[in-house]
Amino acid sequence: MSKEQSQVIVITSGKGGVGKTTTTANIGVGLSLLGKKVVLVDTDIGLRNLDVVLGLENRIVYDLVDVVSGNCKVRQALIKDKRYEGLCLIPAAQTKDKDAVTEEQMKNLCEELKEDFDFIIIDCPAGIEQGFKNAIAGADKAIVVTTPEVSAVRDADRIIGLLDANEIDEHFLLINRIRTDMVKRGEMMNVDDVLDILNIELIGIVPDDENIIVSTNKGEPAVVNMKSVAGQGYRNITKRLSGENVPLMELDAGGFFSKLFGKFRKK
Amino acid sequence: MAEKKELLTLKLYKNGMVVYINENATCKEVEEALVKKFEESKTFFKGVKKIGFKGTPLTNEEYKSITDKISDVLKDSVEFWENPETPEKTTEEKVKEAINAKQILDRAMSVEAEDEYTKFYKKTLRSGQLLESDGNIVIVGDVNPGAEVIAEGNIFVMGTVKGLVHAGKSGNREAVVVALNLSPTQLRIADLITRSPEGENKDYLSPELAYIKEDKIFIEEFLQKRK
Repeated sequence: MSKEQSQVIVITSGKGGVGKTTTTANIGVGLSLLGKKVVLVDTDIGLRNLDVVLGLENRIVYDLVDVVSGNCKVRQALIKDKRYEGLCLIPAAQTKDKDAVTEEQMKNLCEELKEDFDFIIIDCPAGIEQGFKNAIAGADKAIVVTTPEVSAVRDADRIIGLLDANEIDEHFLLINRIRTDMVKRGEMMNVDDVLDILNIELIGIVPDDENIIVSTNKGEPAVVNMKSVAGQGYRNITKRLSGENVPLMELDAGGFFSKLFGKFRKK
Repeated sequence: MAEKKELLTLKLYKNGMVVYINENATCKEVEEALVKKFEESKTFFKGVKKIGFKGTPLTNEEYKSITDKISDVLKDSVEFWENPETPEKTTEEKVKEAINAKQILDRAMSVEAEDEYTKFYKKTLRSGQLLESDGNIVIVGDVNPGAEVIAEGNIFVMGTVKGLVHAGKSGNREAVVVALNLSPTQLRIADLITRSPEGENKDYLSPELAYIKEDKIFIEEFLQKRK
């Protein structure tokens, strides 16, 4: 694996609860299903839950803090997901706090992981404090997750500004939990409204889907569930990340989404 | 050489016409000028029912002499106003009074302002970002909600303003804010604050100018709409 081709992608949002961790898990699993070597790094120290979403909690021995402080080797901390080949997780520490890691340490870790993986996906904590700074320190790209709510969009805007300031210019927007019925009734911001404010490239949309909650609780990401619309959204996103040109998903809303699809293609 | 100052100004109101006599105009000059005016454009003055005088006061003899002359020229029965009342401003006057956008911009961008330092920013200003300048600010991009732009001088935004803008922050009331789409959370000029009207959501571009007049912030479109 050539080091130049591997990418470090941070999944961030500013606001909590918009689906960063779910997105990280789904994109990770999705990429591994496409045959990529992927490592997920949970940087939400003290509030770790990526391992729970992936159903790997009971296999944790070493965590991120152990790795960066030299208590163990990177290889020892990597948890291999046996269900999906090529997928690994470095879990966050639960009994420490965000200051247990420095930006420099994160940079070094990302460089080291690039040797062995195609994709290093970093799950960023909510907020804009040290945890955020650590998460973006080693990143080449960022996926900004937002929901079609004013507060989430506002925080996403703030995050994009901070990413720019940290010279992470390659950032993509993921709009999560779109409810087509509400958009149709004009009760929810539509994709255009969100793009109007944030004005960055759209990597994909994920419709609101009850399956997500079920699969999150079971520890099986929705991306493997062929019946789930959210899973379809994530599958499209992973394809785009791996360089394929996939149109934006079309929902029953017909005209609305096909318009979008046209818009995305132009970019 | 400068043109000779007008002796008088004519103003039309709904209820009649008022002749404003300027200072330094002698009775004779006024008389001649009026006669000349009326003769030149008789039809224009035909509908005028009442004529009154304001400005430099006339003596009784002067008044009589002038009114006689006018009656002669116009032939129609014309009444004269002893004390012309001008309760309503003519539309013409209103237009004149509302200093036009160009003049406001001229004032805001006077030589001194041009000499001032101007900060250019070529990206969209996002939530949480603050752009400050001791002079003017020009932004090529949007000002998103949650972002702040604060300048001692003027603020020009080639984009949509949805955040907070404050021009003339130390009290320069001649400062202006210009944007392609002005829907700020809050707009401040010097010590005055205003907000965008609630519920109004413009997604079209209509270049607007915000300025202070009579202790109030006014916002008006400054480009003629293309038809």
